[in-house]
Amino acid sequence: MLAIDNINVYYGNIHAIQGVSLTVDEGEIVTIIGANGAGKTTILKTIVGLLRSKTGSIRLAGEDIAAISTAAIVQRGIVLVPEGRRVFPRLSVADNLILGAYARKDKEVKQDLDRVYHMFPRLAERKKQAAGTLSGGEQQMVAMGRGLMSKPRVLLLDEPSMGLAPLLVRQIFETIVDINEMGTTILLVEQNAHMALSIAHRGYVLETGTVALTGAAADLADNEQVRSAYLGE
Amino acid sequence: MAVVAPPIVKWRPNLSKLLGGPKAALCFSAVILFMTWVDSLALTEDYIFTPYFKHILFVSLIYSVATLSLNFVSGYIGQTSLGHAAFFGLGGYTSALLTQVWHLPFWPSFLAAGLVAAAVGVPLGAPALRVRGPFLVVVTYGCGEVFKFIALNLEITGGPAGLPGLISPSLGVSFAHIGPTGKEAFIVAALALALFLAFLMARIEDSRVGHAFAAIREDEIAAATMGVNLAYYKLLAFVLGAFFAGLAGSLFVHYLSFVSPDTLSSNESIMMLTMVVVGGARSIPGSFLGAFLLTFIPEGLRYFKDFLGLSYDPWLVLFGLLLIIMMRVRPQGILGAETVFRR
Repeated sequence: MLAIDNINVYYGNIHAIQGVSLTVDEGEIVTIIGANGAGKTTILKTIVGLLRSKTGSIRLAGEDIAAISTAAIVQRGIVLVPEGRRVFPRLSVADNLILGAYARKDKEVKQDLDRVYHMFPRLAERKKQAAGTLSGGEQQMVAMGRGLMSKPRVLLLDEPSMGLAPLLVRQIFETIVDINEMGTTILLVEQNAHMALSIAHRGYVLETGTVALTGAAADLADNEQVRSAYLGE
Repeated sequence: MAVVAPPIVKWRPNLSKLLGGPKAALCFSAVILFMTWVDSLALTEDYIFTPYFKHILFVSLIYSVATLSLNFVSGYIGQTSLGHAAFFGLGGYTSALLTQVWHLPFWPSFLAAGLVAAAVGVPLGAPALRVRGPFLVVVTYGCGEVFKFIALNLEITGGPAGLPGLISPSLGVSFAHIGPTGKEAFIVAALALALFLAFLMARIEDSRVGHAFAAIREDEIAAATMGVNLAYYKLLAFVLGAFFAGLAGSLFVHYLSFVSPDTLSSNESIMMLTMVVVGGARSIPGSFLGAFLLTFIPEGLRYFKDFLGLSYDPWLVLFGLLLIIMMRVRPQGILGAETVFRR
């Protein structure tokens, strides 16, 4: 579904992503784990065209999307739910979700709005409330719902657990599994490696801009290195 | 075919709703037109609405257009611009030069004034792609000053003296010869321009463009991830605002029959931004209210100054006080969109 081949991303002189390749197959949940500053967010931003790679290719279902605009990438079915949620604070929950469908040209936005409300009943209760006044967990639901409004084939999630209480983290991860089971492919970036590996099919371990390790999520969770470095065991 | 976007839910006080619709626009126009027209009947010896009053009325309407147009940048995309008078003055100088040096008629020059201002809006808006907040304030302020100094120092713009003797617009008859004071046709033209812009803005708010503006205002990064083209919409806001400010500037200088570097001054930019802030950012009736209040109040206080025999203009003191009170009590402006966060 999504195939990244040998991308190199720079921030000025800093070589942030050094020849990373990864694939996400249709229907999978793939996670990228790694420490702060390893380049996880950079990869996601590069996939959606907010940053550009100097080399290599990014393919969605065979088509190279490395050079097209973010709007065109969203239209083709990849959407990023950014780190820190980034809801539109003074707009209502409903407006946040409607803006999620911004890149779409079809007229079925209303049905999808109902679908998102069905998935997150909490948001339906609060549709007229300003998104910035919601709790962290609810804001994460808004951010994910807003992402789903673009009808993505691949949903990129950047640190959905950030700043949430353990109970809410569990709920959010259950929702991620639900979204996946309804047919959306997911690429999940997480610092909470334990939770991420527990729901993912496969994983990549990123260390200072390179892929250090890759494999089935269950194998990674058993790996000595991963256990000591990321699972705190 | 354009996709009709579902309406964005707004938090506006009911007052703004009451004053915002087409009915309010009709009532407002009716009152202005009545005040403009009633003296033509010559019912009394004296004017019912004096030429002085009509002058203030015209200036208020021109500032309404300027304030509405500044809302594209300072309201919709939420960026403070202190250089809006540059577009206003540029429009003024453009049509002044076209009519005086190249002897073009008023109307094509008027349109050209808007287009030239819009064209300059692109490079002037470009910094907004990289900087925001206080940094953009400095950049826009600096750009505005540059235009003033260009006008002050070029020979073709008449230097500090400006260009006097500009032609009056005409539709068969010269505007200056219509009505008992010669200001009536200008008032109607300014009203028409303000209403057209207000109508356009009301349409934009719930369109895809309006949604893009809202997204950029609230969170640029999130807007970008939704597929909003930041560069395009930011420049569009600058260009639209500049175009209408240019038109307003053109009509204004041909009304005065005179253009000077004062029309480009940063005082004018600050005044326009204050009108937005006091009236209420993103509120169409608020723009009118801000423009009328801040045009009429200083004029009223001028009487007060003479009456008390003050040597200074009390307005300048009250002006600062008013801004502080607004920031403290109602940061979103009198008719501004209700913000959930107090900032």
